[in-house]
Amino acid sequence: MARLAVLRGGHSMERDVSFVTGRRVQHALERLGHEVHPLDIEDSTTEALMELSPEAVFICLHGPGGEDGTVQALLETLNLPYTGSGPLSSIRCMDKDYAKRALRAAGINTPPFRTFLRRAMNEMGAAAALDTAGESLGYPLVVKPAREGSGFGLNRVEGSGELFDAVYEAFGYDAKILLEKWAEGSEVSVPIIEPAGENAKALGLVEIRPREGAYNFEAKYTPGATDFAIPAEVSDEEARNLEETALTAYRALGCSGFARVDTILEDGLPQILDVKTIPGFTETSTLPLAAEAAGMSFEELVETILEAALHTEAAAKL
Amino acid sequence: MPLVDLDRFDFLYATRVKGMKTAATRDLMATLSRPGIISLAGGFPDTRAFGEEAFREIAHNMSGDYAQALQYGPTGGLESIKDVIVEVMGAEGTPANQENVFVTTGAQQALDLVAKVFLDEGDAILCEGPSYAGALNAFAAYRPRIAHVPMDRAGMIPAAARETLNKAKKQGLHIKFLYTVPNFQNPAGVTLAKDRRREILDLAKEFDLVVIEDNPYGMLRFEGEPLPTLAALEMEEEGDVDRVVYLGTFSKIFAPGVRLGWVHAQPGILHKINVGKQGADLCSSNLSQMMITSFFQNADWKAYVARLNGIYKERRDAMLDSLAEFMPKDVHWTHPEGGLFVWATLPTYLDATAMLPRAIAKNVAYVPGEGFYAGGEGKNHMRLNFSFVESEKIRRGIEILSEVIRERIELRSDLERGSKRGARQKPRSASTGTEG
Repeated sequence: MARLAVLRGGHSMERDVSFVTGRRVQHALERLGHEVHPLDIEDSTTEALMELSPEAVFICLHGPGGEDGTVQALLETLNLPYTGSGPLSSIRCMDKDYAKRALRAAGINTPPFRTFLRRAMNEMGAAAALDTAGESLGYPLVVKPAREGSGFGLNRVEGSGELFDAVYEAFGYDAKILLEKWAEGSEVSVPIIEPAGENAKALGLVEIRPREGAYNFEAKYTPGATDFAIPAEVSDEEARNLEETALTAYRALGCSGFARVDTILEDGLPQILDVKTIPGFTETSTLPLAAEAAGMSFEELVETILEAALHTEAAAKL
Repeated sequence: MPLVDLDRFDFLYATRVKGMKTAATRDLMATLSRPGIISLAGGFPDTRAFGEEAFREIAHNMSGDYAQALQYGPTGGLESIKDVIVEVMGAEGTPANQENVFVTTGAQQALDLVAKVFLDEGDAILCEGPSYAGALNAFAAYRPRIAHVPMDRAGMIPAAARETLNKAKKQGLHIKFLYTVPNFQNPAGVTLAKDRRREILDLAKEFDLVVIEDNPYGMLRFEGEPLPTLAALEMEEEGDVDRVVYLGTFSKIFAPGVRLGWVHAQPGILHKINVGKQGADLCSSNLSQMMITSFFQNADWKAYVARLNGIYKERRDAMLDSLAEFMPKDVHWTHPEGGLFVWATLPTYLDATAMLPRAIAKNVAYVPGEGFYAGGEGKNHMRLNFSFVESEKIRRGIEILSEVIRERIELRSDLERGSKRGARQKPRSASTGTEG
C-alpha cells in the first residue's frame, strides 16, 4: 500500500477524457488498497505535491502540458517517481515532427512528411513552399498540427486546391504543422507495457474500424462509434512485424513504462503514425481493452504501470 | 472475428437518436471547467446576485406549506403561480389571461412540447438565422426541415421570411410554425422592430402558421423603450390570443435553477400540450412553483430585476467598450439593448469553431456560431455572453480574444502572401523537379 497522487484534468483539449482516465485509475488504485489523492493542474499543484510527498505520481493527463514533458520535468525536480515516460521521450512523442525524425533516423518506417512552422510563415514567407511540399509528397495527404493528440485540426487533403484551407485550420491548433503522405491500409494500434525489471512487450494488436469516416475526437470517445477488432485481423507474419516495429519505435523514442504505438499496415508493412506516451484509459480506449484481451485486468494493468514507476533503482528515464 | 462491442444496444436505438450528435464544440465545453478560464460562452444569469438572505427568507416563508411543496401538482401548474405569471406578463405590457397559462419545466420543455405537438417528420419550420441552439436541438428530435430567415439590426427580415415561405410552399412542404426570440435574441442580441412584429403576425395569418414567441429576455432591457410582445399585438388586433404561442421563463428574472417556465396560448393548443406534458413529467415541481410564488408575492421582484439589469448593463458596456478598443477592424458585432449576448462576425474565411481551442488555450472561451444554424452555416460568427463574468474579466477576455483573432488574420495574410509568391515560382520548381 502506497500513498499516491493521481494527476488528472489539465489544460489541454483532452481535459474531459483525462478526468475519465483519472477516475478509473483512481478507483483501481483504491481497490488495490492504495491511499490515492487526485489532483488537477492549477496554481497550487506543486505546493500540494510537496506537501503530500507521495511515493509515486500516476499521471493521467493527455495532450500538451501533461503528456509533453512539462509535468514530468517538474516531478523530477521534486524528486517524485512518476508513471510512464521521461521528459525528453514525452516531448519527442508529443511532437510528431520530432517523433518522425527520430523514427526515420532509427530506420523505422513512417510516412514521408514536411514540417511548417508559423514563424517561418510569418518571417520567411514559407507558404510559398506549400504547393511544392504537397506535390513532392503526392496526394492525398494529411495535414495535422504537430502537437495535438485527438484529431483536432486534422484533415485529409485530396488535391492542392484544398491544401491552403487545411493548413490554415491546422495552424489553429498549433504553431507547427505537418503535411504527411497518406498511408493506405488497416489502422492497427500496438499497446506496449514495460513491467519493472522486464523488457517492454506488446499487449496484443488492436485494429480500429471507425463506423463512418475518420477516427476523430468524437469517434474516439463515443461508445459505439468505433469497432475494435482484438486481435487485429492480420497474418502471423504481419503481426510479428507489427509488434517488432512498434517495440523498436518504443525504444527509439526512449519511452518508459507503457505507451501506445499507432500504425497503418500498408502493403503488409507497418508505418508508424504516432506514439502516445499517455494513451487514454477510458472504457473505449485501446490500451485497457487490449490488456483485458491479453488476460490482464484493469487493476493488474494499473498496478504493473505503478510498479514500474516505483522501481526507482532502474536506469534514469530519458 | 472477435469485435469488441462498445455499445451493444446500438442496433436498438431510434433513428432520431442517431441524428442527435453532440457537437465537437460541446465536448470542448468540458475544458471550460478548468481553472483560470474566462468563459464568455455560457448563457448563465448571475445567480450570486440573489443573495443568501433572500433565499433563506423564501425557505422560511414557504415552510408552513411543506406538505404541498413536496407533493405532486396539477399538470398545468398551481393556480397561485399562474397569478404571478399574469402579473409578470402584465408588467411587460401583455394582458395575459390566467386560463391561457400553462406551467412548464423551464421554457426549454415548452420548446420540446411545442415541437412534439406540431411536428411530423419532414414538416418545415421557420427560425431566425442564427437561432437559439437549444430550440434547434429540441426541434431536431422531431426531424423537421429548418429554414433560417436572415436578420439585420432590426431582427428577422419579413420580406426574406415571405420569400422562404413561398419557396417552401412551392416545394410542397407543410410549414407548421415560425419560431422567434423577438427581444435581445439569443444568440444575435438584436430586437425585432415593432413594425416587423406586425408584419410577422400578418405573414403568419396569410400562410396560416403558428408563431412561437420565445421571450426569456424581454424584461432585461437596459435602454430604449420596451416593445409590445407579439402576443400583446395579436390580442390587441384580434381581441384574443389565437396563433401566437408565447413562451416565458423565470430563469432570467428569478433563477434558472428552479426550472420553471410557461406557455401562454389558446386553450386548444394548451390541451394538446397538456397531453404531451403528462407523458413527459406529469407536472413541474411544486416546490419551485411555491418558491417563486412566495418571492414574487412577498418581495419586490421588480427591484431585483432592476438590480440585475444594473449589473448586466455595466457588463455589456464593458464588453462593447473593450470590443471597440481591442478588436481588429474586420470584426463586427451587435449592440444589444438588453439580454445576455453580443454576436460577433469575423472575416468570412475565419472559422470560429476551429479557432476555439486556440482561444481556450489562452484561457478565454466563447460559443462558435455554427451551433446556431441547423445546416452548419455561421462558422465565422461567435456568441459572447456578458451576464456571468465581472466587467474586469470581460475586458481581459475580449483583449485575449482579440489577440487570438488578430493572430489568425495575420496568419491568413502571411499564408496568402507566401502562396502568391509560390504560385509565381511554380513553373520553375516543376521543371527542376522535386525531391521524393
